Amino acid sequence: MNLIETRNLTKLYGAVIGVNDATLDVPKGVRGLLGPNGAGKSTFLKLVTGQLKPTEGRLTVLGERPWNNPELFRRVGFCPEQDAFYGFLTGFEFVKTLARLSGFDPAEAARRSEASLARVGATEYMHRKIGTYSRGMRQRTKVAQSLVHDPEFLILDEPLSGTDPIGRREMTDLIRSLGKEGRSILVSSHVLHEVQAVTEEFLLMYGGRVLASGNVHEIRGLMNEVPHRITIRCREGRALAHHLMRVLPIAGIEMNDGQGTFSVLTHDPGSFYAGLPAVVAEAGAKITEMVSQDDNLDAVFRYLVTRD
Amino acid sequence: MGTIAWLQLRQVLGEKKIFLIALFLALPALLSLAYSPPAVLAGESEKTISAAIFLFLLYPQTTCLLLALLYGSSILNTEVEGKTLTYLFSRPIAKWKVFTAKYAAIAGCLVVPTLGSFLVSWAIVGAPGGARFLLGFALSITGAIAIYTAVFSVIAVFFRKRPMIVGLIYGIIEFILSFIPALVSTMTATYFLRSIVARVLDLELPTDLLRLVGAASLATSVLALAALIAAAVALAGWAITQEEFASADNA
Repeated sequence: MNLIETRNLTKLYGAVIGVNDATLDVPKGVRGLLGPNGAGKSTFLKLVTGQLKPTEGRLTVLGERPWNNPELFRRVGFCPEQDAFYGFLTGFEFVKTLARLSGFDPAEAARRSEASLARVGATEYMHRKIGTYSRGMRQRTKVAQSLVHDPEFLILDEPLSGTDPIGRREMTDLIRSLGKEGRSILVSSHVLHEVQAVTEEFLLMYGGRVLASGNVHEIRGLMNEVPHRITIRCREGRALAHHLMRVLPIAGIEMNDGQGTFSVLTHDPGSFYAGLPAVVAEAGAKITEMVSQDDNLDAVFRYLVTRD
Repeated sequence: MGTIAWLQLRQVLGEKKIFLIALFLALPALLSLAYSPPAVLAGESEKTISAAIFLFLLYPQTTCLLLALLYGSSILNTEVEGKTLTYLFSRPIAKWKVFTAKYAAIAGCLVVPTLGSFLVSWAIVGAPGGARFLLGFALSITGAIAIYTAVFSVIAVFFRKRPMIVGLIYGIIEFILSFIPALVSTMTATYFLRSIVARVLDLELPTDLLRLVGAASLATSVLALAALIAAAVALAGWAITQEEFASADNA
């Protein structure tokens, strides 16, 4: 069974399109949901968490329709993006209240709340009123409430937003460890490296459409009409570029003299890498740095967005 | 549902609006200080009727209605605007249960201090009518808060932009309709609230006047109010399951 399945899923807000005709199967595992602000990520998550009703099409989460299906939330945990709380409660009371709403008796809810808050590193301040928390503390508390009922599918909407560098690292580690436990996780973010730090599997949204889904490398492979970009730092840049153009399958070269680098564009990166050592030797050049720039999420994202 | 009711109670007690409740409840007690039965009323019964009319207008007709308007019309709006509703709606609990628990907590939370305020006002106006008076008004005040909170909650669900204004218009129209004789008045909650007071106090009124004030039997009045409350809560609960409370922001 897939984590999420959609068929022609569309959500309209009046004349504004939130999600546009999305058909996809998202297998279990840790996935990133990427897209700039306004791309449709939040709408998609609101549909997945049953807060919104699809205008058209079909959507199932763990095989069940989420709209008006509260029982699904025994299996799903949701950490919303918004920085909203009952400020008059302590972190512990907040998490315990939501644990109680998940059906646990007071003693079990208290035990689970303590464990969940400890897991996100919020034990120290859990008996303080949430109204006094910093943004990072609130973020951890939000994640704790989504974990308290031990869901098999965790949806985290911008979980790293507002966290400091250490908090970010700890949260990233936490998400990774939750994934390793076999839990399925969908992490939304508009910051590419945040998601990349957690998973290489992702969905990419833009303009209400799901532009791509799968592994970052698979996606890159699908984009064969766009050349692969490799940036090379080399003192003998111009000479080496000349040799490369002559010998290897190259679509173009961009010189960045000011930075001491040049970028090679190729449709056949495999052949390029295979033939490169011989050409470098022939040119008598010494490469000090080589970065396959397109082989990261940022490049995939940029390409897919600009393509449409 | 107890957890949601507890949460709602904490919310009500933690809000700045709590000062408004205190004001709403102190005001009728202060107004009662200015009450004096008309000099023409000689008998004890007439004085009781006069006090009953005064206190009915002050409590079930005004204070209960305004308090219910204040809280019933924002039963979900506070959570929608504060974006905390997401937490409640992403738990294995039906939306209508969330609503019903919040409604029960608000109604309960309003009834207790209103009865306290009424007791003070009743003592100030000379404690007329004894225990029957208190019982009649306790029933009527409880019924008023229960029915008006339910009605204003329904209005809040259907008119999410201006629930207070729509609620206020409803209150005025209902009050006017309750004095239209024959069937029209019997279709209002106010008519049954008045009937409860009239029956429990066993007011000696001319038949025509009693019919206008509220001639339904106690059982009929209580049942009618209970049915109206159940219908309003059910309607609001159903409407909430059909509504989307998430907005398009950050889509």
